[in-house]
Amino acid sequence: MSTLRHLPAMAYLILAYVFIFLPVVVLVLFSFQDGLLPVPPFEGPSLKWYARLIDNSRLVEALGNSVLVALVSALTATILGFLAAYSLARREIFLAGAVRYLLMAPLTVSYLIIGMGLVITFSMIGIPKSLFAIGIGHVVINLPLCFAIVYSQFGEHQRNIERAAHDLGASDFQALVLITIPMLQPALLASFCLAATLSWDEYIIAFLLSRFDVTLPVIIFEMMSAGLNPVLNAAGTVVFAISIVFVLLAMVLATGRKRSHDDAIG
Amino acid sequence: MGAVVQARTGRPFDLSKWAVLPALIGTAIFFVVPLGVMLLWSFWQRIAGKLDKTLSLANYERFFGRDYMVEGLTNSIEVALITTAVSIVIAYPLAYIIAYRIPERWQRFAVILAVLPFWTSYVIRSYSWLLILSERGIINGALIGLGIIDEPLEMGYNRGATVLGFVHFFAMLLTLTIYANLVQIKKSYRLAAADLGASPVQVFFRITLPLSLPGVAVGAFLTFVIAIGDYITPQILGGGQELLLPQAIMLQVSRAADFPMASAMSMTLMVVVTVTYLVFAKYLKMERV
Amino acid sequence: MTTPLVEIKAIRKEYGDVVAVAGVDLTIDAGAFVVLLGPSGSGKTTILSILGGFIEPTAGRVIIDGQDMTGRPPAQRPTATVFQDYALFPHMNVAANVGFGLAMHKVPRSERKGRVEEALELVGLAEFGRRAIHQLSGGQRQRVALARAIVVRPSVLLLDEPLGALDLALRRQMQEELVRIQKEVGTTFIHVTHDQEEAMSIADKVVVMNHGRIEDSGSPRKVYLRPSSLFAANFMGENNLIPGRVRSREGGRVRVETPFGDCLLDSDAAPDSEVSLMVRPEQIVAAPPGADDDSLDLGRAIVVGIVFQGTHLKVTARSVHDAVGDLKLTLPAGTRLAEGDDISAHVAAADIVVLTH
Repeated sequence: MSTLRHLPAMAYLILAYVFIFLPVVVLVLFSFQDGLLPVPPFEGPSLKWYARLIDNSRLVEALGNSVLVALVSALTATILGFLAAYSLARREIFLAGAVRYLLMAPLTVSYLIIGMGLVITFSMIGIPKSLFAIGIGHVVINLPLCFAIVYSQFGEHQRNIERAAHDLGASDFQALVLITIPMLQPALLASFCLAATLSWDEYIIAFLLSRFDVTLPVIIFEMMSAGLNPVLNAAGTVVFAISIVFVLLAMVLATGRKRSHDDAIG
Repeated sequence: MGAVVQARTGRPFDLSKWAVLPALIGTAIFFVVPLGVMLLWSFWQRIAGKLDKTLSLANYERFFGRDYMVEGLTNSIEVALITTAVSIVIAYPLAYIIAYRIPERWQRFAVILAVLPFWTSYVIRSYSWLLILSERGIINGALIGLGIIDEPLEMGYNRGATVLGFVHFFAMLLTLTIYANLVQIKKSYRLAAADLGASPVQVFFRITLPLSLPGVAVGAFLTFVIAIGDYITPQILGGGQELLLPQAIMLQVSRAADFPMASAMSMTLMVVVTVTYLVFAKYLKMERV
Repeated sequence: MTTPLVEIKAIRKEYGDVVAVAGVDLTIDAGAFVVLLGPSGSGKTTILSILGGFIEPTAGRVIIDGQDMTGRPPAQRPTATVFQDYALFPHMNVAANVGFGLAMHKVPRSERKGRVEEALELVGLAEFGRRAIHQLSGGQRQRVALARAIVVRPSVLLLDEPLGALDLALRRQMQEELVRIQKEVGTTFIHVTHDQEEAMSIADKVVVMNHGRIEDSGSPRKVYLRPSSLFAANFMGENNLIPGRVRSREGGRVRVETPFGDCLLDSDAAPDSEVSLMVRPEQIVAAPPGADDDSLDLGRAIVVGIVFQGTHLKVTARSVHDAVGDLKLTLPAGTRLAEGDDISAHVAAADIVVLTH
């Protein structure tokens, strides 16, 4: 009888999930379309569009560029974010509140504006449009997130453990490397993976700051202006799959490492 | 305690104090400076293909003088507001059901499931909605196939489609922020209210809802700010029926190469965002665990 | 004989294989201050939650004021609960918190104001109405939680280890406050704790629980001096357990054989059964028995440990009888005694409690 009471809630839940997953399902389904257009009726399944994807060397190159930019910019953002969080959380920094505010500010500014600002500034100081420029743009947008995630983990509990390490004779550096960083591993991994995924997906800054070497979202958008095309479905599915793998990897690493770390200690 | 530790390790120079510098300098050079540069450029003009560096408010006058430009701003604000409202309406019940109706062991899974499509590329996701809404897309296909209509409906390429695309994305974001907040509310508050005679409806309106507002506020703020500055979704789904501000700005950049004008429009957008931030400021404090 | 206010009949609560409450019967009279005492996992909190309507029992009935409340939700019961973490609504001030239950029961605003002030005065927080919750200390929050529950005039007030988070001095003070308030409003209080000192300080009736069952119940004096079970004896305080065997029954009493000799005690233990004789440390007298005393001579013992506890000395003495081991005594703080001293001890037969195994 109590299940009946829950019926409206379950119905809403299902409807919501259908709404959320509809685009993904359609995308993936019609990437296996045998016909010419990624629309009903569904003919297939066929892998021909994936084959076209691999044949398209521009796309494959762009994919490689995206991965490169994502990994490097995510690594940079995570390291800078960690250093900033460490010093703000553990030391007396002049005008700490203002510094925190400044570090978080890019979150509220449209990517379009950030991208434009960089285009103009780079042209003035002579940095050419390139993957390097895109990488810088991505570090700017991801640094606030990496900082915020790591900073939120520097709580009292953490502080006491570091004090214990000092008490037992560890130098600052030792405590940092042997205690702090390992303990923060989940946060560090999470922010790295989040930054990588956001960079990997990012269009507007990549568009504004690229000339010859482009990233995947830029090419996809270009192809999109030509109309509906199952190759786009295939590309989108691949992007989605890689992102999911990244996210799941992050989750497994974040929780798994913590357990084995505790085992090693205790 | 700190003083004792210092004496023992005898560090002559506290490196960690300066660890924040790289991030700070990076932000200063690559974020603050560009904004300043843009501000400067907004007072310059592009005349006959050349950069005229005389300071003037010409760009701003042009912006607020041209109807279609100002409309871009008002349209953007309208679309962002509608998106925020609809996303909250869809996301709140979802977050509530996951937090309070689903057994705890399954909650994490339910949230991840609700947020999974977040990881499709932003561009691709808007494209997918096109697949669904276009004349030959799923919905039309189903409606025609069922004999409900003869001619396909034009569902893509308008404001509704843009809002739909936005709402799909931001409902996921809001579900996350609202859920995180709901799950933090101590169960004993609701038990106490029930114990004192409150019906389930009263418990919701008097206890749960007020205590969940911070989560709603953070999500709403992010939704409004991101939506108003987004170029991709309106460009793909809006179909050129109306121009939103980011699209107008991109036009200035790509067609006219008029960076001064684009800068002026960008500054205007930033003012709107800053005002929004001030409105939400009290909900957006940074907390440490 | 008035009907009791609360009747718990054969209440049982199972969580799968785990039995939290194993068939409990309990009656509570109106106006009493009852304490459910026991270690964690004893089922005391589960019973409280069942009384409040937050948990449904697997079997059994709950009757309050003559009405069967089993299955009724908390909002419809004449109970009010003071939660362990106080559960004060953080987004309302003190007055709004205290008035919440009245608002739910549709008490008109004018009357509400007066009753809230009255309740705040009762708990000693007269001018605190406008304060925010986060501005209050632990002790003050506890009082607000109490006021909030009392103001709705429940038939039964349920308190779930409300003093656990307070420091010792504050806890002692609040214990006195609770007793004072209970006497003043006359409501039946049912209070859960694991602290036997607290239980004895405040209770009219103590109910000792373990593993989901009632081990013993009665006034603090009765449960401390005359516990019904080994568990209750151990839980209520330190004691000495002397092994013994029942030789025979003589009238209403039994003759028990112990390593210290025989004695005649009140008990209904069967002949030939193994028993433990319980003696509280403060009941052992550190002197040989007088000629006319009806007592058990504990013989000689050597002092092996003395701990100064402020008001008394905790003395451990090793008996010359191997079978008995160490005796625990409580002696006045000024007693001249040192480790290694030889003492004689005895205990009045009337103080000994026979516990069957």
